[in-house]
Formats: sequence, structure tokens, C-alpha cells
Amino acid sequence: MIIQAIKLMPFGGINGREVKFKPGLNVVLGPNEAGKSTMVNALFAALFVPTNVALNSRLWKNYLLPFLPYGGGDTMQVTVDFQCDAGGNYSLSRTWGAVKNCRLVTADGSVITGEERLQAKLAELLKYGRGTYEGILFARQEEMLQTVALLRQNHEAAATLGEILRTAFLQGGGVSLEEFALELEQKKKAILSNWDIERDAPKNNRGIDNPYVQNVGLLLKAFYDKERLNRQLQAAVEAELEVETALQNLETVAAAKAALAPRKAFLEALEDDVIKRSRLEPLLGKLQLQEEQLRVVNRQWPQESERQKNLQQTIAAGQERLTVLTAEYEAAKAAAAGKKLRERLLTAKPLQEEIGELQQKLEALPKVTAAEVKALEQLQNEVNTKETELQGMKLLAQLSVKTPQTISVSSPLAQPETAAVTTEAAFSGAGSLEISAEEWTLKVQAGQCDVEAILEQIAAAKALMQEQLQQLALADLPAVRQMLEKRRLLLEQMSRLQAKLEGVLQGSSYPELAAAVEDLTETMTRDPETVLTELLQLQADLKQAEEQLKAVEERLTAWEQAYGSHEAVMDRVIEIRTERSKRQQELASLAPLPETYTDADEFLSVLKALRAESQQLDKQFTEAREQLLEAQQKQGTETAEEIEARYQEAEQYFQRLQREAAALLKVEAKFNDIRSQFKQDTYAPFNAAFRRYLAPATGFRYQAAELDGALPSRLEAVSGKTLPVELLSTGTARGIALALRLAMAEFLLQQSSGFLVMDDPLVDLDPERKEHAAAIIGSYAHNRQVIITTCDPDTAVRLGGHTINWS
Amino acid sequence: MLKVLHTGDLHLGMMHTTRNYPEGLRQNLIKARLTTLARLVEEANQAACQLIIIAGDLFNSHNVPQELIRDAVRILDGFAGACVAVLPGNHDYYAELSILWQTFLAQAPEQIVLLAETRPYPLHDFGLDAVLYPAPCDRRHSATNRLGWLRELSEKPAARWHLGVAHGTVRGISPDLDDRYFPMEREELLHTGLQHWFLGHTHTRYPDVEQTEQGGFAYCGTPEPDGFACSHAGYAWLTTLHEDKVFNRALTVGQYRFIEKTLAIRDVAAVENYFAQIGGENVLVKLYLTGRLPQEEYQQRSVCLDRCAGQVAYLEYDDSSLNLELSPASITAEFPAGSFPHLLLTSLAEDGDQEALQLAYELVKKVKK
Repeated sequence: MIIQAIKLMPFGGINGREVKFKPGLNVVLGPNEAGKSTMVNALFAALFVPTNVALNSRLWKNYLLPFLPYGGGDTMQVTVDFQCDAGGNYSLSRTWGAVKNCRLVTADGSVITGEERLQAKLAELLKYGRGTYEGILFARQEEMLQTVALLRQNHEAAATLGEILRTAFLQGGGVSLEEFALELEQKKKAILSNWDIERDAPKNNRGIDNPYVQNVGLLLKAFYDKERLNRQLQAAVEAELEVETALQNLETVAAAKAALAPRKAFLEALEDDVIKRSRLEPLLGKLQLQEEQLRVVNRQWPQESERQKNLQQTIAAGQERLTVLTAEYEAAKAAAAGKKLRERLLTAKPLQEEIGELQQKLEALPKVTAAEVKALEQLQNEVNTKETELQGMKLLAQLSVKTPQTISVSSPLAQPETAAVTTEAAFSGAGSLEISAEEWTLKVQAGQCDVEAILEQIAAAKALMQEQLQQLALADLPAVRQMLEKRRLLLEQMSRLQAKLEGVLQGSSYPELAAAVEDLTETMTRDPETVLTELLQLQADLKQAEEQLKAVEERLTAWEQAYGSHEAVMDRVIEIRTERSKRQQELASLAPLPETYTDADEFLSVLKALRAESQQLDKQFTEAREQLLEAQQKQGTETAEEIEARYQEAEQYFQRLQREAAALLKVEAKFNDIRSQFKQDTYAPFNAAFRRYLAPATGFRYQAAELDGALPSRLEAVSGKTLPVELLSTGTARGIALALRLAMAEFLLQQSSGFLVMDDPLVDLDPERKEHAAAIIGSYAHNRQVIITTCDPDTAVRLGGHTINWS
Repeated sequence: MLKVLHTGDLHLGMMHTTRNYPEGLRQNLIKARLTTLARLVEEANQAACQLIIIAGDLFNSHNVPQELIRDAVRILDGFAGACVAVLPGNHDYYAELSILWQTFLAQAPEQIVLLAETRPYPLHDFGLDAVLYPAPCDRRHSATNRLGWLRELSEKPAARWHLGVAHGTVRGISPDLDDRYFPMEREELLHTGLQHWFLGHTHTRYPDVEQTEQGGFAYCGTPEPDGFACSHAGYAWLTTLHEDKVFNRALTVGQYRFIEKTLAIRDVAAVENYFAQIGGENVLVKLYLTGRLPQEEYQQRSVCLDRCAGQVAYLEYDDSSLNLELSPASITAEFPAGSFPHLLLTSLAEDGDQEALQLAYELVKKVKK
């Protein structure tokens, strides 16, 4: 874009001033405060500040607020005429403040007045955004020194430059890296979408049973197509095999049917005769059996009758003998019993006699009882007790005599004694002691109790005892006791004998036994056992004969019931023989049973099996036909060979796509390599341009720079020493700013004649640097428009170009 | 002398679904097989043949429409000679109870003989002093041929001509990698003592000459080509059996012609020239283009092929092996050295990967401003 003219009406302190520019270098020369910077701002505002800009925005504050009309008024207006790269002339007019409007007259004469559309059109014509122009292509005087710092903050400008540089590097062939990447990605997506490149298979193993339905790349689709065809092929092969198998089955069954049919027909032709035969043969057998049975009956009937008679006679005789034997047996039994009675009596008799003797002995003895003994013993105890009591009342007497004397001494419990006492003697007694001599008697009695009473009690007890002993005719208590023992022994002996006797008598009394023996009569008989044996044998024989007779009679009764009489049996035999003959003739008229069969049953069994087999084959035949039809229906119109041909085509297509995918991946890898390499070298050409401007702009003091992105961080002096840009002198910093802007503008405007605006860029440079700077600006402006303001006429002269006097 | 029209492998009922033919063309291809059968009968009548031998695969499968079977029989019934002998092939193998052959036999007049059994078929009843010895297929695939019964044949019926009819491969002549198609040995055929074997199965004729006196055996090939694997014009043999020799003359009877061609070109005119030679409304072409074209020529290829497609019934082409003439020199001429496309294409060109180079070039051209 070439700026042709700018008109400020009003803008800042300028009103109604129009300046015309030319391509190449334009130098606006005017004194300070003449409004050159106002003009530069007006140009920027016209191009980038919309008429509806917010009053609190940076744009308003930086580009409009300071330029409100100095003489009063609330409206600013700027008109810019420019020529676009394609050659058309445009006129842009913007009015800010109280009145807001915009107007762009385009190359074809059409007019745009809407801000949005106007901005869109301007963006198209200007190519770069406001930030890029603000940071690089519009260099206001106060910003020149801070160029590096400002550009660090101006991301748009840096990004634009980065993109420009990339494009410059890569688009020599007119190919956008990003667009190529996009195209590559689209191509890759089209071919490889949902395809696992590493495994060379569908992603997530999603084969045709679980296929992707969206984002199906060409390779995946080709894979699915061929796999489906493969499956179709397998199905077709199976279907063909199924048809073939079904046909073979059908033929096998048909062959089996054909093989079976004649044999079955042959047997069926014989079947009726065989069935008749199967009925006749058992009938004949039965008749034969009947005849044989009748013949036996006929033969046996008289024999059995005779036997019946014999048995009846035998039984009658036996029964008579049985009666006799029974009587004999009873008699024998009686005789045996009598013998036993006698034997018992012989045993009982001495016992009976002995018992009688003992009885007599017993009756001769005093009848002492235990009670009597007890009563006597009580009396004896009483005597003993009283005497003991007396013994306890012992009396001792010491007698001294002067002359021998005969002394008599008596005491209740002692025998009176007489003793000759010469000098002295000692005497004792119990209860009382009576010592007497001829002349005297001394009676001493214990004083403790009534000795007399005791003596009386003793005497009474003894008297009672004596009385009772006398009744028993026994002397004393031991004799009584002895008698009682003697009686007990006799009674025991009698009791034992009695028990033994009772055992012999077996419940009867001895007189009864004796009477029974007395009543016995003597008869001679056989031993009962012998008689009994004979009797039992006879009973068994009789029983057997009776059973035989019963059997014979039953047989005869049955025959009579069956045949009526013996004569009738013969008639029946003749009848059966006639029937047999008739049936045999019938049998002979039937077709013979084939030799391979032992009987009709076997024949019929085989025929039945054949019929079952035939039915089974019929069923199999029907099933096989159905199978065949089913299999044929399953077959598609295409043969397996035809599908295989399609499959081969699909496989080839798939392989072709695989090759294409491989090629694509290779291109991608190459592209990525180049892009990666480019990222490292992006700013290399820019650095070269910057270095080209840097040396003259710094009076050849610096020759190279380290770039941080597109911005220099350190400068390398000719001496090789490097310095951070922040430490450089003002003059050097301005030189660097100039070099940087020129280098950047060169890259930004490489495809167009575009404009670069710099507000007094040579200020602060020493004359030498100004000279070099003017030279590089001139060089830059050789084929691009540059608008430079300056207040220094010498600078204007140095710069040359189209000088515009601004006063 | 006995004149025989030897054909086979008509594959009536083939649906031609192996490729995405336009539906109209596909229907025409289907119909053409029956039309060709009619033409064969016509040729046989014109040549006053006494016998037509169809050496297998008259039908494509057992699953063909009944109407087609009836049409086939009706056409064969138009033979003016003595007899038409039809041998079941592996596609229409014989099964006594197959609906195909039951229908066929139910429709066929007496002069049409189905050679379904492995036994001699004397043709005296048809006024021919000949006996046919068939080797019919009884299944789709078999590793064993059906010539065995001939070895066990103790005595041949008396006749002047003893002719074999078989369907299957002959080792060394027709491909059968897995021995699936009733494979026969050349010597096995020659040692049968028959004067000639009329063979079917292989879709190309043998011997592949227009006429021959080579006796022994011959494959008729399919009379109506059925795909690009069958690039001939569709033949049948007119076989004349003389006292001392067998003379085979080829009849060209095919309606459609399938051409599969790899064309190495340096300009698109070569394609147009080729189509000028082969073009025709019954020609189907599968074309593989190879070579390198200058850019302008390369860009014209689609237009050129579209034009060529209009000259044939069907055109299918693969130009994936046809590349733009790209070389380091041509890349440098088109793109500034050091630029991205230059770097990319040069690198691929140096790798010698033509496919990747071609692809990259196409992508570059798409985004180039």
C-alpha cells in the first residue's frame, strides 16, 4: 500500500492541511511543534482507530485525545488517499468525536460507510493488524528509543513477524506450512481415520463384527470391505460345499432306497403266506400236542381206575390195623405206669416208717417250747440279777477267838460252812452274814437296801422256775434248753424225710399210692415205644396212600369232566387227527419260507426291519431334498470363484491404500523434520538482514546480534565483545532501533511496496551515524515507501528523496 | 469325417458381480452368454457340424434360474446336426437329483445327451459312428479326475470315432495349484487310445492358435469372455475328424472383449492412441498406467481417460503407478531452493520413494498459491 495523501480537517492543531506523498522516500521537514507528529498520528488514527472508539480506550487516549482541535470543537476528521498493491486508488475518511462517520471510496468507486465493513476491507488491504503497524511500521519519535522494549510487549507484531519470517523462509515456493500441515492432516484423516498404524489394524481391534460407523478412513473401509468379502467368500464356499454334500446325501439315500426296494418287494410277496404259515404251524403243533395228550389219557385212564381201587383197599386195611395198634399202645402205656407206681411205693414205704418212728420219739419227749425256755431264762436272769445285787453288798468279818471254836457261817448266796477257828478267821458274805458259834450267833446285814426283800424275790423266782421245771419234768434250765434242741433236731429229720416222701408220692398220699398199687392188675404187653413206632409208620403209610388216592381221584374226575368218559377220549383223538390232516394240507399249499430264514418270525422280523429302514430312508430322502433346497436357497447368485475375484480386487485395493498410507506417513515424517528444523532457523534470515542494517546504523561499531525471537538481546561489537542492548548508549540504541525497524519492515513488506513511517529516526545520532543511517534508509526506500519526519534540514538533505516542507 | 463344434465353459447364469459394472452393462454381460450360445449353434449349423460337444460348465452353478435352463435347452434344440453332448463340469457338476439337471433333462429333446455317467455313450442312434467317453464332474472340486473308469473298460463299443470329453485341468497346461479341479495328465489322456479329447475348464483355448492339426486333446476356452483374466475374443473349436488327422479351426464367437493392459506412457497421447486401436462398444478395459509424465501431461490424464472411457463399454484404470516427472532438477526449477516444498520434495526424491514423492507433490500443489 502506498500512502498518496493525507488531509487533516481538523486534527490537533492542524486544520485543512493536506500533504501528498510519493512512492519511495518522503521526508517531511518542519520545525519542532509544527505538527509533523500530529500528521503521523492522524495517519495511524485514520487507518486503525474506529470512529466508534471507546473514550476510555488506549486508542482514544493515545491517538485522539491529545489531538482534539486546539481551537475548540469536538470533532476530528482525517482523510487518507492510498493506492493498494494491486494498483487501485482508495480514499479513506474518518471523523471522530461528536460526529462519527467513516467512508471508504474503493478502487471501483463503490463506497463503504459502515465501520465493520470498512474495517474488514481495510484489514484486507493493509494485510497486517494494527499491532504490527503500531509496533513496526509506525515509529513515533518517542518510541524509537524504546523500540526493543515496546516490541517485546507487542505480541501481535512479534507473531506477525514470526509468521512472516516463516513464510519468507518456507514460502519461497508459495506453500504455506500451516496449510500444507492442514492438507496433510486431512489426507491422513481421510485414509487413516480409526486405523491403528502401529498394529496395521483397526483401532481397538474393532473388526467387522464391531465396526466403526463414523470416521471410517479409506484404509479402514477397504479393510472392512475385504473382510466382509472374505466372510462372504467363506459363506459361499460353505454354501457350495453344503449343496454338494446335500446332493451326495440325497444320492446316497436314493441309492440305499434303490438297493433296499427289490429285497423288500420280494419279502412282501411272500409275506401273506409266511403269516399264514406262522399261524398254521403253531396250530398244528398244538393239535399234535392235544392228540398226544389224549393218547396218554386213554392209556392211563384204566390204570388209574385200578390204582384207585388198590389204594382204597390198602387204606381200609391200614385203618383197621391202626385201631389195633392204638389200643395196644394205650395198654402198654398203662402197664408202664403201674410199674412206676410200684417202684414209688417201694421207695416211699421205708420213708413212711422212719417218719413214724421219729414221731413216736418226739411224742415221748417233754414238750418244751421256745416260749417256755424264754420264760425260764427270764426267771433265771431275774435270780442272777438279784444275786449280783447281793454280791455287790459284800460283807467281810474278821473273827478272833481266844479259844478254838467251831464256827458256822452262813450267807444268802453261799453254802453254810463250818470252820474250826483256833485263833482267828476271816469270813465273807453277801448281803448278810450270819456267824454262829455255839454260843452265839452274829448276824450282820448290809444296810444299803432291803436284803430280805431281795432274798424273797430270788426265792420267788427260783420257786417259779422250779415249778415250771417240774411241769416239764426237767431239772434245770440247761436241761430245758437241751430238750428244746433235741426236739428241734427230731423235727428237722422228720421234715427232711417228709419232703423226700412227698417227692416220691408226687402229690398223692402214701395211702393213696398204696391203694393205687393195690388196685393194679398185672398184664403182659409190648414196649410202648415199639408199638408207637409201628403206629406212626402205619399212619404215614396211610397218609401217603390217601394222598395218592386223592390224586388219582382228582385225575379221574378231571378226565371225566374233560372228556365225559374213557370212551369219549378216543372219539376226541380221531377228531383231532382229522383236523391236523386238514391243516397240514393247507400248510403244504403255502409258499415255502426262504431257506435263509429259520422261521416265519425271523422272516417277518426282517421284513419289519426292512420296512422300518425303508421308511427311514424315505424320511431321510425327504430331509435330504429339503436340505438340498435349503442349501441351494442359501447360495447366492455369485459363485465362490466370483466372490474370490472380488476379494482379490478388494485385497489389492487395500494393499494399494496401505502403500499410500505408508507414503503419507513418510511425507508426514519428512514434513515434521523440516518444520522442526525450520523452527530452529526461523529467525536466521531475519538476523542476517538485521546485521546488514545494524553495522551502518551503529557506525560500524556493532556487527552481529543475539536474537531472542525477532528481538536483539545482546550485540556483538566489532571487537567481538557483546553487550546487552539495555546498556547501550542513546545513539547506539537509536541506531539499533532503526536497523531493527528496517529489517522488520523489509520482511513485512517484502511482497509489497508498503509504507514505513518513522518520526525523526535520526535524532540523537552523531553526524557519522546519521550519514550511514540515511544511506540505509535510502537503500531500504529504494522500492518501498518510507515517510520520515525531521526537523533537521541537514538530515533531510542527507536523506534525499521527496521532501515535504511542513511549516 | 466327423465335424464337431467343441465348446464349453459358457457359465450361463454368471451374474458378473465381480466388479462394479454399471447395471445396464452387467445385464448385457449376463445376456451375452446366452446370445453366444445361440451364436455357437448358428456357427455349428453353418459349418454343418454333426455334433456339438459342450465340455462342461454350460451353467455357472446349480442355482441358475429355471427359465435360463429352458432357454439354453431351447437354443441347443436349434442345432441342425445329429446330437448335442453336454458334459457336466465342476460348476454344474452332475448330481442325479439336482434341480438343474432334472430340469435340463426334463426339457431336453432326445438329441441332447447328458454325459453324466462314466460309461461309453455310443451315438449310433443319432446316425453317428462315434462313441463318447466322458469324464463328468460329480462335485465342485476333486483332486482325482474321472478318467479311471476308462482304464478298467475291457472293450470299447464298435465305432469309427472314439472321442473323450472331460472337464478339468491338464497338468502343465492349465493352472491348478492345489489340484482341486479334476487334474489330468497329458500322457494319461493320450494313453486312453481315443482319437481326440474335447476338454473344458480352462477359459483360454489350447493350443492357442487359430488352427491346428495337433491331435490328442484341445481346450475350447470360453466362447464368451467373463472377466479381465480372460482377455481373448471368445473362441470355440470347429473340429474336423478325418481318417488320419484331427483338424481344429478356431471360431471367434465372443460378444464382449475384456482387456487388461499395463500401459507405460510418456504422454497422454499414448493412451488415446491405444484406445483408438482397441476401442469399441463391447470392449471392457482394465488399464494400469505406469511411467512419468511432465506436469502438463500429468494434469491432463484424467480428462484424457474420461475421453477414452467414452470409447469403450467400461474402463477401469489404476494410475497409482503413473507419476509426475519429478526429479531434483525439476523440483528446483519449480520451487526456490531452500523453500519448504523444495526441501520436502528434494528429500523424498533423494530417497527414491516415488509414491511418497508423488503424494507430497500433490499435497504441495493443492496448497500452493
